[in-house]
Amino acid sequence: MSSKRLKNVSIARPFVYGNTASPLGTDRPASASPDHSHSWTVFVRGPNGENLDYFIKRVVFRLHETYPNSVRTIDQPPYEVTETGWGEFDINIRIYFNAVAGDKSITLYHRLKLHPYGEEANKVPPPPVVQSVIFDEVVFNEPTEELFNVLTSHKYGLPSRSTDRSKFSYQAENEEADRLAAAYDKVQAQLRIMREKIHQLEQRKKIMQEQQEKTKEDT
Amino acid sequence: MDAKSIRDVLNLPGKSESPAAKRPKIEGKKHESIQRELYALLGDNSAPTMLQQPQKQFKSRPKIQRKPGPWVWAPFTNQARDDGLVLHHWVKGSAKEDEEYSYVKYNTKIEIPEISQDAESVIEQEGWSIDETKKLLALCSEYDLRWVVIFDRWTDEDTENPRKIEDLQERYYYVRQKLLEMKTTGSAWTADQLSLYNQLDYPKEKEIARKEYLEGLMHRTPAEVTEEEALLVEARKLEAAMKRMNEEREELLRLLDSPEAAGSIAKYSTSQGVTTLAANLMQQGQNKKKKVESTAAPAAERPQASVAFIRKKISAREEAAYGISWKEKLHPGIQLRSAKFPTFKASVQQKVNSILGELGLPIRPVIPTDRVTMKFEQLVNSIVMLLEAKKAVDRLNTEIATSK
Repeated sequence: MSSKRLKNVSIARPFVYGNTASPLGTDRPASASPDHSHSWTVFVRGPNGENLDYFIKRVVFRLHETYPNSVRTIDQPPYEVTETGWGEFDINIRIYFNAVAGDKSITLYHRLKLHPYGEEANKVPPPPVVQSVIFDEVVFNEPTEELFNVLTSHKYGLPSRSTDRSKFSYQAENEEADRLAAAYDKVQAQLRIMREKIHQLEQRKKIMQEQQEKTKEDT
Repeated sequence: MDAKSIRDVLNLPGKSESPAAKRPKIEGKKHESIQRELYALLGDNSAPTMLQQPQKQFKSRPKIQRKPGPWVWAPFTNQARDDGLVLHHWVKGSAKEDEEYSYVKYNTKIEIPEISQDAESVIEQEGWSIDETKKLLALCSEYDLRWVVIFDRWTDEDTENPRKIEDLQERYYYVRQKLLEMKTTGSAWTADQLSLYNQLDYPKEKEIARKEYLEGLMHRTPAEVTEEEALLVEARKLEAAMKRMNEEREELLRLLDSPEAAGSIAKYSTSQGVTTLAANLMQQGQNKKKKVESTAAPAAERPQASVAFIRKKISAREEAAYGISWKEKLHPGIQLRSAKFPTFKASVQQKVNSILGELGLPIRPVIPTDRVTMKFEQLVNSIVMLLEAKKAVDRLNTEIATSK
């Protein structure tokens, strides 16, 4: 086992987490209590549904305490929990990594989304499935050589183009980077104007101070 | 006057309707083969389907095509007998005259060696006379080494100390071994002889102990039996727990092993040490602030060892495809990319967020890859600078206004 760390190297793996939800229709599952209005699934998976079990050991979803056995431990993909309910709440998601990654874990929170809002809410008819999916990356800083070998057994894994199923792709990444660059240019332009303004104002202040001193001397 | 009027007069309740009207109305159209009333009783249910009774499965009759063979009442002689008695038995098929009786082969005799004159000195053993030995061998020969029978027939000369069954066995095997030794002196032992010799070894003490154990095992009380079983279960549990604990300990040790702390914390244990630590942290905080000014990240240094290792597997071009990047300062470990988003005081953060909104951007990048996160960081830092610049302008404006 080689536990030597690779200095200054950082290796990232993308994943998405979030939930899908749809109103309960007539065919309610037997377990659903009568006041439950929605069926939802909270999940952790690859951006295009890839299998992530080469570095994830288990995912623990901590649901609202009112759910029976509210801590759900999923050891095998798919890492997801399907439930019914009526309310939105924060789900604590804890991702445990394989022994090769040092058995570490990271925690994230996801606010369960059941109802459409913003632009979605005004659509007619309302979308049949509401979803709230967040993209993030797990960053392994200075991985051990062993971990590096495990991680590089798979590519980074992002589709080149966006599809209806997944909006996360290299194309979307490029677009976002371009948007940010454009915004940055805008802010820089503003900043230049501001600097000029500061320069002018300082000049004015200087002149005024000189004038004041002169008037003082005169009096 | 009808019944209804009389009831009205007498203020009697009930029967307001004629019995004819009470007759339940039977709905449904007339059925051809079945009476309407009867049909209605069926209700909405469809006629019950016939239950399929499972047929009883009998064993199928054997198909006999051939006729039974003939059996013959035949005489036979048993070669094991020496009196030539002729008995009869049923034989299938035609009787064969000169066939050997099939059970003769079980009539075997164990060969017990005889003690010759010159062997007598060889087999000497304390407590055994030659006559006694001869008697024992005779019994062995007669009862084919059925030791329980032999022991039963044994009569001791010395009635004070009766011999045990193990004593008899020991003597017998000792004699056999000695005789074998005598026979093979001078010549080399063959493999068969050697194995026979080893087989004739009789460990008396062990045998006694074995029988005692078996005795004990048989005479256990039910309570003892259950206790033993419970103990066995306990032992298994302990073993399993031990194994699990060892595994956990190993995992823990590995966990503690990596990543190693950068240095010992002993130097921070004194108050002076804490002061220096605080000063260092302050310095770092100031550096962080300064860093905001210089947005362009310098190219990270690439240590030779890391490069060499990576190149074994992945070329410089493919690095991006595997999500590899080079960073100046890293804390070994795992973190989320989103944890690297720059954060500020609540008041500043609010302003930054509103400016991001004005620029038509979400307050959190949608796809925070390494590249996007870097760009985002750059943008947010420049926004903070813009805010500072605005503050400076405002301050100058007020200063000018007040000094007029």
